[in-house]
Amino acid sequence: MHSKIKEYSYKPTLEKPLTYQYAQFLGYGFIKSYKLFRFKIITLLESRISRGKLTNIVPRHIKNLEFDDSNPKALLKKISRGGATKNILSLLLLMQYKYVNKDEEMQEHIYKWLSIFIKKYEVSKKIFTQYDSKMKKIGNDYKKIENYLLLSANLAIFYKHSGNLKFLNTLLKLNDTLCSISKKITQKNLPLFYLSLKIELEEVKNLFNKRGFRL
Amino acid sequence: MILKNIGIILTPTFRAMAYLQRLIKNNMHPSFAIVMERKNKDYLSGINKENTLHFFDKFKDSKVTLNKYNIPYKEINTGDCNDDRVIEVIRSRDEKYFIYTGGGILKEGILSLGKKIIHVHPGIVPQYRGSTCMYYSIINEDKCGATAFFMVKKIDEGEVIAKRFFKKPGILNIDYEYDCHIRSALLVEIMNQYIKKGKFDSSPQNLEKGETYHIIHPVLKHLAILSCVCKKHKI
Repeated sequence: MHSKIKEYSYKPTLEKPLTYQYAQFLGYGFIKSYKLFRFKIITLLESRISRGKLTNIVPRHIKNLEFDDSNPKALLKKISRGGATKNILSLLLLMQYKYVNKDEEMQEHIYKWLSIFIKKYEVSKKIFTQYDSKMKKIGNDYKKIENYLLLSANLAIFYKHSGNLKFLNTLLKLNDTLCSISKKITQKNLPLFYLSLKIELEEVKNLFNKRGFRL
Repeated sequence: MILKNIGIILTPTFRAMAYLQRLIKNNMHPSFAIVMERKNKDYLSGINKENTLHFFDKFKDSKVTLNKYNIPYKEINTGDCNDDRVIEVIRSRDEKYFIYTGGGILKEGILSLGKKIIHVHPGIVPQYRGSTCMYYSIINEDKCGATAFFMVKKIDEGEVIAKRFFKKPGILNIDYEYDCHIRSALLVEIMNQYIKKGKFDSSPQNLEKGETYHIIHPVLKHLAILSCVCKKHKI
């Protein structure tokens, strides 16, 4: 094992995704390079967004959604109709904000829907712009960065609450891609990206700390 | 001893080498083998010289072993179990069971032959599905496991023959070594069951439960490996 810090090497893009299969073990140095790489981007984001409480980012992002959030079943019905991915993922974010830690049944639904998106992403490494009611893609456009960002934020929040590694795993992959293309993220979406990266790094640190590795 | 009715599909992988060597070491000879050959030996790149073999001889070619023990075999130049030639050979044989050692996701063609394909998965199902689930199990539970089951179209959802927990590895080479070690250990256990009873007992999984874990991200993989081989350390 060696602890020399090399540059973090996982930099996929939407056009050139990575499979992550048989990743080589590179020792402590790899974890240091991951931490430094993410920290650099977080610092850069802090200089570009107005600083505020992390907990305000999601309510600010979803405040313009014109959905009646007092009726969770209506929200679920809306999601199950399919449509623009941006709307589905925004609704899931709204549902997490309103109901995670409060309503077990809703948590189950959120788990189910996010698991569907995880499978879609893990199999094809693409999130398409539209899906039908059976979650089959409509069209071939997969290049809307906002969709990847919304999924990333959803996974970050859900992992924080559930501790299920499945969510953190795909979050790490999504954020590798988002970091590679971060210059293309619009100013409006930067806070959401910041939130997702902050949660990811914090939770990875927690995981390492819990096992006796101070990150 | 010849394992009546048991064939093995040998892919050019360490897993196949481990299965065959371990069966033979336990005096269990499959009655027939399909040897899938690939000219490309890129799978050998998974070997780390500093991390040489603990559990089996990774460089012992399967054909050498088969010849030495007079196990009949048929060579097919393919890396895919769904290849028509593989299906034809399986169809033509009397063996009821074939041991799977890799070679792609099985499709209808091979699964509808009326034969049972045995897979040893490196995790306890239904809790841990997915090819890299061993790493998740190490992070979550500080141990790993393996499950032997009959393969069905839906990945990792077949009827379970046996499950067993293993302690977490103390070596770095998990993908190519410890993985093969625990799978081959369970394979020998179920073959013992088969020798004693003349059949495999199996029971369906609870498909309502469980989790599918996708290919593990290198950060989490490092955490799992570090927790196997290192003491506490400040990174």
